[in-house]
Amino acid sequence: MPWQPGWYFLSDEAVADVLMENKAYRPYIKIIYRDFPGVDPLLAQIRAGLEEHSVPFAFSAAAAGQEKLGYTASMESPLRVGIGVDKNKNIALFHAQAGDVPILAIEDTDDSGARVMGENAGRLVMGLPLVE
Amino acid sequence: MKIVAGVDIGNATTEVALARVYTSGQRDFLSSAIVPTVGIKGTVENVNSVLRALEDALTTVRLRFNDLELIRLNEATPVIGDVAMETITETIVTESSMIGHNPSTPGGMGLGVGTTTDLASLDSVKPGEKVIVVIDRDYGHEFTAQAINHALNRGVSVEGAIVQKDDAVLINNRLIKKIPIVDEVYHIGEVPRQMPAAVEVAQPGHSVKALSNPYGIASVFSLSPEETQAIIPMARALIGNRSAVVIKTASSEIKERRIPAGILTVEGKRGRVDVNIEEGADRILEVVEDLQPIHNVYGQPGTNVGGMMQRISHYLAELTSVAAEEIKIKDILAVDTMVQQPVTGSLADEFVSENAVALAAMVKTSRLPMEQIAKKIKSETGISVEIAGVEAEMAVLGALTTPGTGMPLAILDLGAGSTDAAIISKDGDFQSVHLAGAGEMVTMLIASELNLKDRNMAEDIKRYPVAKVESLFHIRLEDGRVRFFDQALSPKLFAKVILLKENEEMVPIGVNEPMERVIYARRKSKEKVFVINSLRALKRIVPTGNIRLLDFVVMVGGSALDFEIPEMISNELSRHGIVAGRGNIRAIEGPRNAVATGLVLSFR
Repeated sequence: MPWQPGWYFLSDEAVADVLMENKAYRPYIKIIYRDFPGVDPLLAQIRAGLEEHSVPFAFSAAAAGQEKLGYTASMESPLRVGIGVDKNKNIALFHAQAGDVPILAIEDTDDSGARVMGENAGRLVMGLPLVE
Repeated sequence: MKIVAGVDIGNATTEVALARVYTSGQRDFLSSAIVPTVGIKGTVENVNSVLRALEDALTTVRLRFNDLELIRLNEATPVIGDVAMETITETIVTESSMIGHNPSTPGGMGLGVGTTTDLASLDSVKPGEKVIVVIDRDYGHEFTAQAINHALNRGVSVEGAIVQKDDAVLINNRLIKKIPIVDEVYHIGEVPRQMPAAVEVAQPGHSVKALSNPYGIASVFSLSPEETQAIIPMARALIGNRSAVVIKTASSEIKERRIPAGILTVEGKRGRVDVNIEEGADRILEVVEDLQPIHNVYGQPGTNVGGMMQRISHYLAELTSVAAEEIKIKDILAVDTMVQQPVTGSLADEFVSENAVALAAMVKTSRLPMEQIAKKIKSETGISVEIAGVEAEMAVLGALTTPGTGMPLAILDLGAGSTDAAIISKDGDFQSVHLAGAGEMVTMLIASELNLKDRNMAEDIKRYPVAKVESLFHIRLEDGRVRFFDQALSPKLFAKVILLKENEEMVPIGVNEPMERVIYARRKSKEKVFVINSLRALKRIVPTGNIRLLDFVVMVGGSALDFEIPEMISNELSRHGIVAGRGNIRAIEGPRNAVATGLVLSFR
């Protein structure tokens, strides 16, 4: 299926799995998050940052006991860029080329920190300087 | 046999050449040293750097001050320069009528025209009316999109939007009708409401067509010819933008004020001429050449240039302990340049390029008090000190140690404060000239072209090549080649334009300019100062003013070490049939140490 703008709203695990077989079709940034009360606003902000930069994304809830969320996300993303969100509201941005050392990491963050992380993930993919 | 040191105190550096001088006339050079000059050239503070340089030179060959028998100090050229810059145009946009900050992610595409309306007031707009919605940061993108969609469903013509937050794409993605949206408007409170407005967004990679065209704006707002003339500066400021907003307020004024920059009066042997600064740098240079030798240059009181020249004169008067009225400016270099100025009354901190003129001025003072410096050196070390040798002549003698040179020889001494030329004829006669405009002026021009507040950064951009960090592992160099790294580069450098300094140090330039623009500003600034001044200087010292008579020119001085200035000059001079190259003093020093070496060579 050719990529269309409407796909921003279809980002979920099911879509990501389908795309995994057809990697050529759609590149995306992957976000793996720990599902906990209070995570939704953070995810909404990350998504806003990515969407404002027009970069496709896919969200995926972490399995119980899963570690290295961001690093795993970057390895699974066709764009090699991933974000991890853990239960302590720590968010980290990874690029698979740089291994398991995060490009950016922020601890116990709030909505604006999450938004900036989303933007920076988009900027990393597009070759724009990162912002604070 | 005597051990002799030649000491050259310059504006920026102090250099030493150390040698054994035999009665037979043979000279064995032992070592050299270079240190930053402490204090202004010609003041007693310089002694600190002299002693340090001597120590360095002596230690290199395991000698001590005891072993040194004579210090020959340069008779420092009593030439001091200064630079200043003034804008000669000014754009004032009152009543907040324009937004041209060019945010990175505008929404939608096209031209929308309507009346500016708050999001909160959307419900009271009648169907069929055309509006531009104004959204401040209190509203999230979901709510905003819903509200706009609701209005659209009611039949309201929402034609565009102006948003405070960085949400243009988010909002546009959720609208049932796509509209042009400009975001990141910080001072949204100052956007006039209930006024006719136009919002234009171009495709990525393209720029606005209607709002950067005075007739486009006239079409949108049905302007009269007089009104159209008045908005020309606004249209000009929006050229090249991907997005723009123009608002027609009741009493909006956009003025492009020409600041009366003023008249420069050049007095020379052949007469006196008044030049209006607006005639440009080329005309000023022409007048200066025509009236050689120059007696004085001053500006019309009460004007910008008058103020500039006064400031320069006062500064130079203080430096040389002379009354301001007694300062006679012997040379000026004018350069037309552009300066980024904030638009007065802007809504999103926009900048616009204004015309400016930069001037470098130079005075000859009475002999600099080198005797005081000599006395202090002697009292601190017990060594004899001689003040010997006109600096320019010493420079030529030193330059002659460059392999491949012979007499007649002309040199260009490219410094920080002045550009000098000297020539030695076949018969050993000297001529020299000192011109305003050198390294410091180049730094100032780079700072203004790139809107840099930090002078140190401007200096670094002058001295080091740039590169663009393209990925986590590679950078693109100026010549297009790529350099790869086997360790990920710091995220702080990612996608930035950086300077390649010594020891692989990479430093972001700190301003949001593409690499090509930085290179252009750097090279243009060097050309406008050093290439122009090289030609001016050589024309003055050649007997008939015809520089083609020169066969060979050697470049020395601090700015001759620059990675591109000597090549620019060589290139230009080769078009006049002259071969020019960086000096190589004593075959080992490069363009450095010419004067210090000359001081040793001239000792009998």
